[in-house]
Amino acid sequence: MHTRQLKKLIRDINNGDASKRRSAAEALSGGDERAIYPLIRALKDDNFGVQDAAMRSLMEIKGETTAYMVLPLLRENSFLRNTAIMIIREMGKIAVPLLYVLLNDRDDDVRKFALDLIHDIQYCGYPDKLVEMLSGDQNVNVRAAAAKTIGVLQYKKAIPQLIKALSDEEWVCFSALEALTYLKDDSSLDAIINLLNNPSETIRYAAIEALGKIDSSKAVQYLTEHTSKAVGFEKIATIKSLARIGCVPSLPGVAEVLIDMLQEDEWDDKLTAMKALVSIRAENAIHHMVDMAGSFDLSEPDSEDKLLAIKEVVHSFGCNDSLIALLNDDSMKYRGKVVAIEIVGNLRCNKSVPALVKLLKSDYRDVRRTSIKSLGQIESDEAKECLMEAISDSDSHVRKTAVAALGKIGLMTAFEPLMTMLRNEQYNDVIDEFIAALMNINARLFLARIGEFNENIRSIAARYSAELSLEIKC
Amino acid sequence: MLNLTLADATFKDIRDYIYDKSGIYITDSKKYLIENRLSRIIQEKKLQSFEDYLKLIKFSSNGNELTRLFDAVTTNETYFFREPQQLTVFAEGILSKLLEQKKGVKKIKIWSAACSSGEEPYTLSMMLLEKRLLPDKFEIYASDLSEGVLSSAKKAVYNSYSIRNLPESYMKKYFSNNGQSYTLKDSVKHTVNFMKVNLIDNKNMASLRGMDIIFCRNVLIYFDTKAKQKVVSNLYDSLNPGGYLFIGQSESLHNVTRALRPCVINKVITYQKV
Amino acid sequence: MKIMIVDDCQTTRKLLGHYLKSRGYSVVFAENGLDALEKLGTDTVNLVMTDLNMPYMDGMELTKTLRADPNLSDIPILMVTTENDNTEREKAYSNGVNGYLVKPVTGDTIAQNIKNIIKQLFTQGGMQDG
Repeated sequence: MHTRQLKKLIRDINNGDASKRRSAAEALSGGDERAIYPLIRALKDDNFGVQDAAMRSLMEIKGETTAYMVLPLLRENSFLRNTAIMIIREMGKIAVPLLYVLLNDRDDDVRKFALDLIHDIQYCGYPDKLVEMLSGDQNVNVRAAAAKTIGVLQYKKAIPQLIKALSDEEWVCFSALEALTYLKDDSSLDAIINLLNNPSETIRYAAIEALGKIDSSKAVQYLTEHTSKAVGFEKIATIKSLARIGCVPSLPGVAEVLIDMLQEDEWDDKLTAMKALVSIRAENAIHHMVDMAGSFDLSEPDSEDKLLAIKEVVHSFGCNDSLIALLNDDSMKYRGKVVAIEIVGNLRCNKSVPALVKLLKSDYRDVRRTSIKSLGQIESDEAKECLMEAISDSDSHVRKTAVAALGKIGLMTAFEPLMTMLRNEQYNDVIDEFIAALMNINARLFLARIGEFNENIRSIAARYSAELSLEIKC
Repeated sequence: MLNLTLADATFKDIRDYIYDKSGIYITDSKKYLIENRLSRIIQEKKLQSFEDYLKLIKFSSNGNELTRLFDAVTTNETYFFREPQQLTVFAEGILSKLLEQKKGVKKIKIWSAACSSGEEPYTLSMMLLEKRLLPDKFEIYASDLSEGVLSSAKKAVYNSYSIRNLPESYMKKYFSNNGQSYTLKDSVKHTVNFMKVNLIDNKNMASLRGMDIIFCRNVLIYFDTKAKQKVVSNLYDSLNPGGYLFIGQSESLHNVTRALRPCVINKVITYQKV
Repeated sequence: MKIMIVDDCQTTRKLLGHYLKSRGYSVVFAENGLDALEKLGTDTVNLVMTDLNMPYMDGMELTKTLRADPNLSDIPILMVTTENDNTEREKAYSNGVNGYLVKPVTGDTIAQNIKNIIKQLFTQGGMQDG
């Protein structure tokens, strides 16, 4: 940035008009070190828009000088302190050496903020200092912050100290436990297992969770044994941990706990529970899963992915009576039913045909259409008969789907019925489908008899046969 | 029918191109959605591949192809009187405050940014007409990225899905029913000024300054944090001091800006430029 | 009873979450004051337990903003922070918090404080429907 422009902006940042100050603050993001001090002053501006622009610009400029000049703000009021923390965090690694001196500060909170910053930046050139603070700092919150930070830095040399810290006050123990979970080292397993005798329920719970995250055969073994011994809250925690590792035992009570997990808020927990239910073949859970699938608000951004995930899970159960029973279950929401119908189709589940046939009479259009589609995938004779019936359904989309399915199967006996229905078909997109199906079944015969149809149909057929020759070349 | 597959590298190219042009970021999980939607366009245009399609977009001289791409990529589930709690706070809470503040001063300006097919600005218009505050006291502006959607907004013809939340009285007063569709009467249509705006690009937002209320609902979800910051910064600049911004109830500004101060009225959050 | 835990540190949120869940409360989380306000728009809670120092909007601001909206001003607020400073404590109470605890704090202490706050509200007759 040209000096003249820089100087102008530095003047403008003191302008009486707030919007001019804000524009100047924004533009200074392209400045050099000379912009830093004016921007820091602007952090104290009365106007929030100016403050915000100044903060963003300092984050853009980055650099050691910026970090150095922002540090003193950590001692000011809470608003400026929080601003300084946000800026320094953005500075990243280059700020970390400057934080060292704060680790010796007399103020407990300053030491803690410095540790939290190192944790967020996830880099530290002096990890041994953190270990020293873990064992030696007089303030509990600081020791806990040290443990947390060591964990995120994955500093393995600290493991012995972290294990010692498990005997410290509860807050420190909890953080140390978390850190050991990050480090996932077998040497810590015995100490963690010991915590299962801790008087604090919270610590016992956290220890079970930690075992679930340290994926080792010893942890699995211990947790599996613990499942039958534990009760209530702990039992649930133990099963959850095993589910996360993917090693759920098929013991009594386990399926119920997992089905409860389906009500959890976190999607990941739900997914873990679903996969675990498949692994123990708990077919009675299918009802809950399909119900969940049918309840999604499709305007939420992630719901399509989640729906897909549930479908995959239910699919992996394979064809079974519980799934088929859902097709006949009147209490199931129709959207859930549609999911179940889709899945039996994809599974080519012959046994579901009678239920699907009944669903062809459903009041819900989507249920009818999906049933037809699934019947098209299942190549039993009974299914084929239904499809033939459906080509004369009053709903054009149902007709279309049935015709497409027959075409795909290439059913010879469908040829004449299709010819008959086509004669009276009004909708062009359905006509398209009829023609495609007839071409697939017997193109030569169809084209030979093209004279039986009206002009509209003939012109569509003409377009189609041109495209068809393209397809044949491919 | 051709079987088109979208290669990962092509998907990334398309994603980067869209991000560059509009700030909209398509996550990996939406890849199959893009594959589906663009396949239809590609087949219609008788192209052979996604790569060919991307070339067409980049090198076509008019913006129509790009606009169509944006259309295909954003899901628009909008209807009249969406998120009614917010609308109530607007009508019962904010409106009277602004009328006080701006006594004697020109007109109060409202902007529906990302108006899609028009349901939101027309909803605001009808609410103001009911209070007899239009056309004297208010001006309503509406914008969107996509020309296709803007032209259908101007036509103002809607289906039963869009009107499902509409009170009976509004239906009778402001719409004419022609079988399957509902058309807005001219008295409402003429109260909204539509324009094409890209929220990421503050160049073409120059005509939208001095706004007193901005609605930008359910579109920020398409942006990543950086793009969101840019958009919200642009909206901030468009607001008058004392003006309000409404975002979707399930959306968040909590990693985006501290320039706007949250005001809670009847549990609804609105963000004010103080 | 549903409690919202507002704290920018994930470990702290987890720990406080455990304390409350193991005592039968249901819990929702927020990362800072603004996040909390956004969530309170759609979620109803019986009490807000908040840290003081958080980015974007700290505990004091959150308290002030909640007390300013008639629909939310009755929500009891328990501040749980590392700040062991009497000025801060007084400021918090004058802004409208119902309780102020200094970290580290045990699960029992938190539970006891929550019970006391709720009891106080009942006797004052100012209790919001859960």
